[in-house]
Amino acid sequence: MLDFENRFVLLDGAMGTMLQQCGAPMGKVPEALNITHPEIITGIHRQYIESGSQIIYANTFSANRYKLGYCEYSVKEVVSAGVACARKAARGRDVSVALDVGPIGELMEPNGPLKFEEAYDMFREMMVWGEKAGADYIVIETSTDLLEMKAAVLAAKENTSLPVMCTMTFERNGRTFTGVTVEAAALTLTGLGVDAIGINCSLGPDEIYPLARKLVQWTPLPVIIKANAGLPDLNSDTYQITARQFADQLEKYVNLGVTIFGGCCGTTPEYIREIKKMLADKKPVKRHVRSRAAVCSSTQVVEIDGVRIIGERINPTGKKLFKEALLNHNIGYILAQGISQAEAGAHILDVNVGLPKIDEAGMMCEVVKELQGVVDVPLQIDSSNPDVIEKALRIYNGKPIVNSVNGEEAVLDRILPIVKKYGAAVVGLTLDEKGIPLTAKERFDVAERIVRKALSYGIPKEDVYIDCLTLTASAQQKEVVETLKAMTLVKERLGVKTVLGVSNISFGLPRRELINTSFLTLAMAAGLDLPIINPNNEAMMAAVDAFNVLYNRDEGSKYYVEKYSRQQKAETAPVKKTDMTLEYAVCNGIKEYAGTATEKLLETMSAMSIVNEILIPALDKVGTDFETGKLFLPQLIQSATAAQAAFEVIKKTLAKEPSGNRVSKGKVVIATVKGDIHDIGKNIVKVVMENYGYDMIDLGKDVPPEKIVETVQKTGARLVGLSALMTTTVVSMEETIRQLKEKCDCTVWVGGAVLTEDYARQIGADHYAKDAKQSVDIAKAVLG
Amino acid sequence: MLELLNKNEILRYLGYRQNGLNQRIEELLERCMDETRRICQGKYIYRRFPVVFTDQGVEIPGTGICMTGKDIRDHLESCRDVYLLCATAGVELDKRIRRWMITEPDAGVVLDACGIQAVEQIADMAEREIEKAVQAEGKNITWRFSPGYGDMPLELQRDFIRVLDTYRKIGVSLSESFLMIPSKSVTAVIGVADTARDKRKNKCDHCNNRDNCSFRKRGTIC
Repeated sequence: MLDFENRFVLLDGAMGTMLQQCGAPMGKVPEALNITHPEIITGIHRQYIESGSQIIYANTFSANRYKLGYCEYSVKEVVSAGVACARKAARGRDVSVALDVGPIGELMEPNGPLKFEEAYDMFREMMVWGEKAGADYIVIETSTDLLEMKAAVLAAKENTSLPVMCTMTFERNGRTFTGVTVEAAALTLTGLGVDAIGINCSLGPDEIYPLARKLVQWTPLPVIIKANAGLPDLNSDTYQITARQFADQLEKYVNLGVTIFGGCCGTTPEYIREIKKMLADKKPVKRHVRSRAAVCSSTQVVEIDGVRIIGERINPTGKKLFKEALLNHNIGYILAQGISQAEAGAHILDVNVGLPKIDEAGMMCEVVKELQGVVDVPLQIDSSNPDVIEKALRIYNGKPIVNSVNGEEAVLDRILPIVKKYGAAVVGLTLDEKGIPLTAKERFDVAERIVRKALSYGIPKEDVYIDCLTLTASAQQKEVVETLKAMTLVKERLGVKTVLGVSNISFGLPRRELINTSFLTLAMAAGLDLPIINPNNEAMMAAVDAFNVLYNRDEGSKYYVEKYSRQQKAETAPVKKTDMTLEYAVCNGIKEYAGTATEKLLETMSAMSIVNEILIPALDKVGTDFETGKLFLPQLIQSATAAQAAFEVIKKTLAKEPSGNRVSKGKVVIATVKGDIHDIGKNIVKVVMENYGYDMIDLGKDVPPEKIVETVQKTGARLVGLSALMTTTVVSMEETIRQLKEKCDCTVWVGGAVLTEDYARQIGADHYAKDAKQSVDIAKAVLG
Repeated sequence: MLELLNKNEILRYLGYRQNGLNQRIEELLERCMDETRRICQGKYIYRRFPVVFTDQGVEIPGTGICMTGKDIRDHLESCRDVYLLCATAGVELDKRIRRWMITEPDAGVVLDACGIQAVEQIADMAEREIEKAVQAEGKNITWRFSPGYGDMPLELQRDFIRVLDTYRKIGVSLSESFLMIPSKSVTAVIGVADTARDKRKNKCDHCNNRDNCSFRKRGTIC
């Protein structure tokens, strides 16, 4: 590998621009030229070598299985030929060849349909052939999705021995199209252990400069800049700046410590020659990068340079409704817990889905993936099972925390290598095979062992967060203060961040909140960085806010004043009207009152009669008004959400009663079929039907027929709803119906933009519903 | 970029039939429109190409594109050049719709409708830019025709996306089942007509969903 730190390294410029200029025949994929016109490709490489390029990118950018699907050549053929062209041009010269790997061309879940392992496999295929054909480096470039980049990096590191260079493409606002920030890319890719990272394409050197300034502060790795020749002009299809201007604009990057330069769209050998001239009298500048404790999602970095709150609510322990949601595969419920914590101010969310009888790894991956599709905050993977941890770390988009390891050698040796491989941070509990030590000193000793072990695996101490463990005051009152002392010791002597689950302290005592907030405040004063709490608890959040004022972290009390002066105003707002009936609240979609009205009714009526005598008739009226056009879609949904608020209250009441007393009119499985990811219609149907008392088992979108069949068999559901948006996905709807009819005894109804009554019959469905109202009618007819 | 978000259009997508809006719905609409303006990442790209009419269809030489079907041939009649266009409202809007569908589905469906209107506005913006350039040559443009309209195959979407390099330039990709991602995205072809005659006609004439369309039943268009 070339020395990226003490010498400048010149890459090449654009391939596409050169192909256009020489009028090469452009078929469906320019990479096919490697086979049909190798002399053109080799010729372009030679020109770049003549101009000073030390690493040339083979013409393999789009040579993945997805993009070559429309071309007559295989990945092996195109990649091998591409690398061969570059090798031929480099022969006898001191020049290296990089396999160039661009994006697959399809967005990954949860934004698009491409699954992590599919992307991984396509990258693996390219890279294995690339190495065989003689590439010296793997360059993954023009990436806009950090998770796709991660799949590619893992494919490279797990299947080849080549050095890996990564560059991503950002917009002026410092984000990629999918929202990835420069800082998040730097943290994540540095953690994954690549060899150099940088920015390419999209903008010119002047526009990229502010982004590069950020980048060099967030990674100790060598930095690559491969900018476009300025900005493009759509009407002339050209770029704005000359080779000379390009090199002039790049000059300031030398002082940032950037050492690897090249050009992207619009650049030619002349541009590379000008960079070479510009660098001729310069020396690489040594960078001094401050190490930081930070974690991230792809869109949000959380630096732990003050108290950062970890939300504890995604956890089944002691939560009946959450357990039920896990067992019924009610992902929506779990996501709602995540969203509400993020909105309440959690900086990080702990995710624990461990429950006997469920597939923890599968559930963990699904929850992580879906959560990352709706919230920006980073996650903490909470499991003691190494297999669950590794599976989740693979598909996590960003740099997460692993919760947890402890002082047991066996645990450390199993989990720390995984933490290192995926570049995560890790929580270390100060306990070992002998249990929780009683004294602060003993807990400190365990912490020291964990930190030392982590360092030996190459995990920097910034990425180790020590948990000194909260004991219950009612049972071990003497030891409470030991936790606080241990934390101070750990903080001062080991210089690592600390984390602590707080709420256990008050177990068994009255007015738990009082004990919790007091302990939280003491803990923060003793050096707690990462309290794990319920962010929806105002008193706990207020304790953190107050601490930040008192410890001069909230400068000028700005945040505090803004938050609490606003709240005071809100409190003086008019008080709730309580004389509104539940029926009125549902018919008019006023969800704020539906819950209170239900609570009041429950004093005099049974839950079942509220459902049958008030909620359902009210929803029926709304349904009829919707059908006749008196109400339109948003109003129908508002009524449904009001009814949902009423149902929440009823469910909570029933959860307290002995089981058997449930509001269920039968199970219904609902899904958007394979290949289709537009599920808004299905979601509307789900919300409305839930309120009629049906147990909705929502399998989500892009669901394979097999999974639907399996779920129907497992749950014994007698009714299945399928949605598909387009003619192209109705095909997989038809297949799903075929399999259901063959293997299950159930009624199938369908809906979706392109379907009609006739079309639905044609593909074998029993019923067609044009909207949520008709879906309810069908359910009533089938299930009662 | 989107000051012009058209409220009546959004209401139309949502199936509103002029019965008067209550204050709650008004507020919801305003909130969703504000959110759309705030998080919409409007982007578009277009490129001009010469076309040739062959027995197979309307071809764009050097790109591998052949637009088949009678409707596109009629639509581009006498055009020697076309613009391919792709516009998107960005991926953040999809994410927000997903989130609101979980926490407040009423806002979720309204935001979805706002997104449709937003990408229409963005495509209109691109179209105006094209129109200006074309009119400077004393020519005129046809209205936007998209893969899937009339008998022009939806599969052409794949070629449009590829030739415009939309994934790289504006972040738009296509799934195996021809769904565009971000979901609030459109592609279209616009003809450059030598004459100044307006070729605009009722867009429903070419629509496959004509007989089944709930907009038409309400006397409006989509």
